[in-house]
Amino acid sequence: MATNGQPAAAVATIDDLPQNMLLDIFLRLPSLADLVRAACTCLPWRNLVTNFPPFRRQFIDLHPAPLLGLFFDTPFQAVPGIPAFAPAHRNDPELVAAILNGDFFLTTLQARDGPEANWSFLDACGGYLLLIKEDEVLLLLLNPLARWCERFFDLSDSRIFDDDDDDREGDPQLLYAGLICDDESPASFGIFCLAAHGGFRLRATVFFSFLGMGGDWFLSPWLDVPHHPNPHPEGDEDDEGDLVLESGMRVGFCSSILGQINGDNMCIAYSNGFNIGFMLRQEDGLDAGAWANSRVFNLTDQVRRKLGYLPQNGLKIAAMRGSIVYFTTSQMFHPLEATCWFACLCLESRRLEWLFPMTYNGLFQPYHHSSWSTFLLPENERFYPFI
Amino acid sequence: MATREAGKKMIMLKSPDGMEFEVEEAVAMESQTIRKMIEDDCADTAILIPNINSKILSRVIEYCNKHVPTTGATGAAASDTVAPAALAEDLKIWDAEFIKVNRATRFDLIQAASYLNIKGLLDLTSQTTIDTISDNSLEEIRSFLSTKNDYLPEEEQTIRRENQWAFQ
Repeated sequence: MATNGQPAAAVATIDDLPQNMLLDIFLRLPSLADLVRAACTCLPWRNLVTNFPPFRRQFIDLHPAPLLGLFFDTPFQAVPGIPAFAPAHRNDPELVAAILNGDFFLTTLQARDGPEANWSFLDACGGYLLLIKEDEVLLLLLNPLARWCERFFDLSDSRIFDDDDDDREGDPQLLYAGLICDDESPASFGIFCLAAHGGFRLRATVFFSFLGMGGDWFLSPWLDVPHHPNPHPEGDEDDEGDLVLESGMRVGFCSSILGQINGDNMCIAYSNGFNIGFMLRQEDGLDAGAWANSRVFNLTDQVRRKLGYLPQNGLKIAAMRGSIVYFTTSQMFHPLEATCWFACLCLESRRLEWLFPMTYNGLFQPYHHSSWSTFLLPENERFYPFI
Repeated sequence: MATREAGKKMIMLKSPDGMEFEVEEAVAMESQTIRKMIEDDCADTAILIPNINSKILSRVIEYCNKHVPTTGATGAAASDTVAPAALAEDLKIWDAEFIKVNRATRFDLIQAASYLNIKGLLDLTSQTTIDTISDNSLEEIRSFLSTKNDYLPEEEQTIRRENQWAFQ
């Protein structure tokens, strides 16, 4: 059947499509960058995307935020340094373009502190990176993809460490801090901190960006943790520990990690030799609240194929994002001549992806693109938590 | 409902401009919308397909004819001997030829595929538009899809600067 030579009056344009059909087409776009470009084509398209909230959830569910690379901490604390970035998918032009347009060398830190800059990371989430200056309790939140997104938090001003109980030994100190992000709201973030006074007194503090520039930290009351008669029972705890909570030490590679899988099911992923397994919390039944082994993946063959031999120490887990576990074939400070591979394993699809080998080995955090763009937020959510 | 040789059930589809198309039931049921009508017994007489003119409807029927599973269709007996992979390859080439239409026809086909709920046709017709958006610069997208740029120049500049990662 001939398709040409129809009357001019019948000419349809893309804007004649009903809105739900146009959204259906947008939903099929390969990446968030494509959607941003589509929304930048004309205002009605942007309004269509921003004014229909269910679309945001649908798009994010179909397009998991891509991994841009790994941030490595400096391995020796005595040597000043700042985290170094290694890109993960080096032949994906879209991801490489994103990296080239961002500030993944963290020049902000060097511009501020000069060559003596000494920062290490605490967390990476939702496109943000949370860093701490080693010799002060100064936090920095920044988004390397957007150079103007940075904000300092001086915790010494925040009353986090105030404690009426002066009988305790030593000064209160920061144990740990991390990020709380919402994949649908790229402009907002939360920071949580855990402070300790002495060995058995803890306090949690949270900061939320939606409270505006003058927002303050929410302080929980100090909590006395019951003394354990033997704080390090033998065989009960891995020597590297999940969180190394002593002052000045970095969080180590761990043999287990707490995360969330399938939305919000609590999950513990662990490594044991060349096995990576995970446990889920039982929701109901007699064992409610208990952790039950769910699945174990034996990666011995894959590791041997990749490295040509089996390293002595087994696999070490570094991070967990959603159902994806990031691990390395070697622990810190292995002999430099050995090649160490960095990889990720999806606990749901059991898909193993080898990222890249590196001789240098330090702690690392996977850095993902944000799931949504501020540009695609409706007007009332487009507030700005940065100066 | 008309019944013709070999016991094949025929269905009459009517376009709003008065054209009538007699098609096998199996072909018509490639459309989930029509399938539902038939299964709910709402399709005793001819089915009027609103909003889809005869030109587009005939193309949709052409697509369904090609994509209907060949089992029991005597006309497609020849393809029974062909390996499934080769058949899929053949369909792909046919699809590529089928979608070589002008933009207006393509958007009409998207609408028809969406209304009639024919997933394969919707995938095929949307893909060209998706490729246009993901492979081209803003100016090209605007000209290929003939949308109007209603951003102010300085607005567009700000958007580009703040979303540099999305513009290679």
